Amino acid sequence: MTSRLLPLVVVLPLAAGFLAAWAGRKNIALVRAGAIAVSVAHAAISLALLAAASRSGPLVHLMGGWAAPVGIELRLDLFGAVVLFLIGGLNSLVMVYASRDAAEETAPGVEPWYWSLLLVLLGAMSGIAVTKDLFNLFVMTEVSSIAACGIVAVSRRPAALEASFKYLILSAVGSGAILLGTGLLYAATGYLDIDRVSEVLREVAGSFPRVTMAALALYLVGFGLKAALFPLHVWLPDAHSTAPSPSSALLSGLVVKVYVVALVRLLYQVWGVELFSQSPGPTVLLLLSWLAMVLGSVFAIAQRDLKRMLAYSTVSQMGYIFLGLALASPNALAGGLLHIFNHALMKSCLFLAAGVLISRAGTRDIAAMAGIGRAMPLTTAAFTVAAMAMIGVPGTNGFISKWYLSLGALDLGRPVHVAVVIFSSLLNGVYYLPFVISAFFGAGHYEKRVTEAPGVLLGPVLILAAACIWTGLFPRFPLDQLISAAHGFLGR
Amino acid sequence: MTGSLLGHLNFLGAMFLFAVGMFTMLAHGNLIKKIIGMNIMDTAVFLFVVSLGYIRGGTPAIEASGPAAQYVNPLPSALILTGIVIAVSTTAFALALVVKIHARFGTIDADEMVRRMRSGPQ
Repeated sequence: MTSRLLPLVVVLPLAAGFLAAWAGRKNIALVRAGAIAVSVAHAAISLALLAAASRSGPLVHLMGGWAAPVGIELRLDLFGAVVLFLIGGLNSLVMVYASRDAAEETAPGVEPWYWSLLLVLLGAMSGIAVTKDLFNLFVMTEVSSIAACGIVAVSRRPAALEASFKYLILSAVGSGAILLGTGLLYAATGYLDIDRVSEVLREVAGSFPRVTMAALALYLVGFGLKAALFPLHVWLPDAHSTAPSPSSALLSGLVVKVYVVALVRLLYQVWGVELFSQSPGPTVLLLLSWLAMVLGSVFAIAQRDLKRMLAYSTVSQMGYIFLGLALASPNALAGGLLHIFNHALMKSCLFLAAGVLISRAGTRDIAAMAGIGRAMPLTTAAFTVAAMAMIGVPGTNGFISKWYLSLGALDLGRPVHVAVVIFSSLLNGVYYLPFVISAFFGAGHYEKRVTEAPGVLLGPVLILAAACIWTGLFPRFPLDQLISAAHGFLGR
Repeated sequence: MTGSLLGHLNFLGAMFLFAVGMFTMLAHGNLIKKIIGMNIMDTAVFLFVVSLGYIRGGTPAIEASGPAAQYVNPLPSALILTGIVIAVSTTAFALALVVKIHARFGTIDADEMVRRMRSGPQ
C-alpha cells in the first residue's frame, strides 16, 4: 500500500529544524513550543502509520514517483512502524523536559541551535527507520551522527568538547566503513535498493565470497561503532555523560538504537538469515555481546559519577540486543528487538531523572547524593522503577525482553546464554540497588535545601516510569508486532 | 594472478588509502592530523566507488552519441557527489570543534588536552 504520509516523518522535522535555527534568535519560547508541536505531530503520524501498517501490511512511498532501481523507495514494515512510533513518542517527552532544562545546561547563546539539532536528529532517525535504499541509509546515518555530536557539544561543560570530538572521529571511522561496505555491495550486485541487492546477493555470494564478506564485516564494524558494540564503545561513556541530560536520554535511548535497526535490516533483509548464519558474523556478535553484558556492567560498578554509570550501563544493555540478533531464533530475536523498545524507555527515564537529581543536588558523585530520595521522592521513585526494569524484576518491561531472550536461547538448546543474562542482571543490581537504597535511606540532609522538581521536568520522568511498568504488565504492544517482525526476518 | 591484481588496482589502491587514513585518525594525537586522516579515508572510498562506474573510452551519460554500453555509469559519481558534501560538512564541524577546543584548553593535542582537562576546574 502506498502512503502519502510516509515522507512527512522525515521532511517535517528536517524543515522545522532549519526554521528553528532562523527563528530561534528572535523568539526562543516560540521555537520550544514549535519543536514540541512538530515532535507530537510526528508521533501522531507515526501512530497512524503504525495502525495502517498493522492493518494492511508494509507501507511504501516512491520518492518523486520513481520506483526502484531508478528512484528511492521508502518502506515502513511493522518493525519500522514500532521504531518510528518509539522515536516520535520518546522524543516528544524529552523535548518537553528540554524546554525547561536546555537553558540551564547548554552553553550561553546556543539554545536555538540546540532545538534545531534536536529536530534534525528526529528527522534523520526517522529516515533510518523508513528508508529502503542503502545509499539513502548512509546519508541518514551521517546526518544523525553529526546532529548527535552536535547535541553533545552544546553542553556547558568543557569536557563535552573533547567528548564530542572523540565521538565525531570514531563515528567518522564508522561512516567510512559503512560507505566502503555500500560501495563493495554495489560493485557485487549493481543495485542499492534493499530488496534487489538481497535478491542478487543470494546469487553472487558464491562467486564473490570475499567481496561480500568484506562488505558484511565493514557494516558490522561501522554500525557496531555507532551502536557502541563492545569493545567499540569507548566514545560512549564520555559523550553520553557530558552531554546535557535531554541529549543523554536521546543518545542512549534512541540514537544508538536506530543504528541497530539499520543493522537488523542489513543482516536479516539484505543478507538474510541463511547467508548471515553461514558467515562468522553470528559467532563474533555472540562473543562481543557476552563481553558487553558482563564487562559493561563491571565498568559501571566502578563509576562514581552517576551519569557515567548510566552510560556504561547502556554499553551492557546493548549486549542484550546484540545477543538477540546473534542467536537468530524467533523468540531471541523478538527479545532483542523488544529490548530496543524497552531499554529506550528505561534508560531515557533514568537519564532524565538523573539530570534532575544532579542539578538539584549540585553534585554528580553517587556517594554524595545519599538521602536525596527523601527530598525528591517522586523523581527518585521513578528512577527506582526504571532501575528495577534494568535489573529485570518481574512486572517491569526489562523482565519481558530478558524472558524472551532466555526462551530463545533455550529453544536453541543453549542454556549457557541464559546463565550469562542472569549473571549480567545480577551485576546490574550491584550498581543500581546501592544508589537507590542510599538515596532513600542514606544519611544526607537534602530535605532542608532541596525540593521536588517542577512539573515540566517531573512529568516526562513519571510518564516514562509508568510506561516501563505498563509495558511490563501489558506487553501485548509492542510484543505482538515484534514477534511477528522477528518471524518475518527469519522467514518462518 | 598479476593480471587480476592489475585489473583490481582500484580495489588495492582504495584499501591502501583507507588503511592509511584510518591509521592516521586513530594513531595521531594532533587533532588536525586526525581530521586529515578522516579526509584521506573518505577520499579512498570516493575514488573506489567512482572507479566502479568507469569504462575505458566511455563517454559521459549526458552526451547523446554512441551506443548505451559505452556510457560511463553516472550513478556512482552522483552518489559520491553527495558523499563529498557530507565529508565537507563533517570536516567543517570537526574544525569548528578544534577551534573551540583550542580556545578552551590552549592545545590541539589529544593527550595534552586530556591532561589539562583533568588538572583544570571542570
